[in-house]
Amino acid sequence: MHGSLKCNDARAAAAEASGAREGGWQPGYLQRLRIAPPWALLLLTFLTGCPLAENYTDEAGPRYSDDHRHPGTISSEAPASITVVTFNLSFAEQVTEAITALSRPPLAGADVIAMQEMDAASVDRIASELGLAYVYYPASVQVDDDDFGNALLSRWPIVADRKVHLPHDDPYHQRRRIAVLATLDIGGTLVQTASVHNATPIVGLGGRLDQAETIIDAMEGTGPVQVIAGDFNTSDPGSLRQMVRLFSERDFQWASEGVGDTVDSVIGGLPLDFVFAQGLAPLERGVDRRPAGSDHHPVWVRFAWPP
Amino acid sequence: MMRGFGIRALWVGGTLVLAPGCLSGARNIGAATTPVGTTEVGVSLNALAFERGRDQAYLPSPELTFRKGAGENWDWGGRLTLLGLELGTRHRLIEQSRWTWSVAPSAGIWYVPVTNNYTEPVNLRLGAQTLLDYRLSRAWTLTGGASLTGAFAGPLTAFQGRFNGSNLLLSPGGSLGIGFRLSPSFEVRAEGGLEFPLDLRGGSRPPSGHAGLTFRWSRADRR
Repeated sequence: MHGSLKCNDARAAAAEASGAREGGWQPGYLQRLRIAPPWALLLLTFLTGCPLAENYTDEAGPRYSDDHRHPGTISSEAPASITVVTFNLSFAEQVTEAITALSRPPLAGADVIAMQEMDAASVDRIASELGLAYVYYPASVQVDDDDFGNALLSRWPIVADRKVHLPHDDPYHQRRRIAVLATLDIGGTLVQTASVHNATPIVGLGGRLDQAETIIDAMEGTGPVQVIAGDFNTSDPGSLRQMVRLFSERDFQWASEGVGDTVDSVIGGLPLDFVFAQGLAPLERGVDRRPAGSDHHPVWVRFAWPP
Repeated sequence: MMRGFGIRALWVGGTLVLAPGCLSGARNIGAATTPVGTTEVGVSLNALAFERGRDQAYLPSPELTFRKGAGENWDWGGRLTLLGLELGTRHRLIEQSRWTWSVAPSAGIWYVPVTNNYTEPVNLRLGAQTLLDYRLSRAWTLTGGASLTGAFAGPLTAFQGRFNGSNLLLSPGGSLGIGFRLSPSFEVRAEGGLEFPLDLRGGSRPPSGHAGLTFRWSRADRR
């Protein structure tokens, strides 16, 4: 250790002498410089190390849609009830498991499925296997280079759709969140639907409430029957209460009220996924907690029909 | 029920440790400057009231404070939270037998991992406080304060030139405190205050407040 210090001292003295010869630095400067770079590099890495997200900032796209409905899934008659499911498929990595879950009761035959964290290929595969129409908009590109966005899948014709940019990009990567809105024609009645994926609690509760309100505003006046479903990321204390109150103040009913936790996490169960509705009466609701290929569990609500 | 309690405790604990320093307008000082050759250290236990979502929230905020005499009429010091530091000076302008009047400019930086309504990961505060002491007795001192603070809150991406989500605030505020000197080297101070943040782009925000106790020790520096 002693020898090492001597060696370092000698090196510093030589360097300082060299600097002095070149008419450059004052004695002691090099010593500070020798200490500074690791700290400076660490600070620089910390401050600039977060890669900026690649967002799809276009107002209208990219957009993916198709209609995989077939005679077996198309109904010409108005149903006795409609079932809405919301399911965050966790980066769309376990599509086969998701299809299995969506093909068994109580999710089988769902009229509307709002999905989050999806990519186009996975949405198309699920819609194809289940015989559904769909619309999908990616919000951004994830770190694995897959798209990351929301989809609405429907047993009924999708007659209009659009993407809604949500305010408050995350402060570390500026990642954008969106909602996907679609108008469904259910037996001649137009139903406005939204698939939502709010920011995580890294974005404060005020920001997430602004995001929810942006979606409500976007749907306002579009029709008397509305369903807003998705992952609202209400894991922090008080956020669920304030989120539900916001929807209640805007005349939405918490249709999935009482289903309990919808995510298994390292800190326990969390209630993150909800269905809110206007102009519809919920009959039954629940969470399918069997394995479905995600840390989120699909949430379902069966509504009386006609509204 | 226990699981819910556990989650809540984890969140509150995490927020307590990491978040609230930048929201605190508490300075917990009087107008009298620290004598030259003396260093004061203190522990403050504050409760903060602030806007969260669309409600008020309340959190405890522990802080360490220190001050060091630098001249006949001024000292310097600061307060330290886990992820933040505020430094400033205090200048005695007028002193009479019962009254002392000072001004205390300060600058602070806080890192907060999550955003709140108008706080972001990077928070800078620059402000000044004027303080007026009225000595009720040898032991008791009443302190009134008025402050004006400018704050910048920005995302971490501000260091990469992306300022989306930044906030600029101007916060006038006031405080009232009372100090009790238990011994020549130990003081207990209680303080409460309010700040009225004005978002320079979004208008006024609900007030934030603080109330707390500070235990402060002083000692002569070694020569």
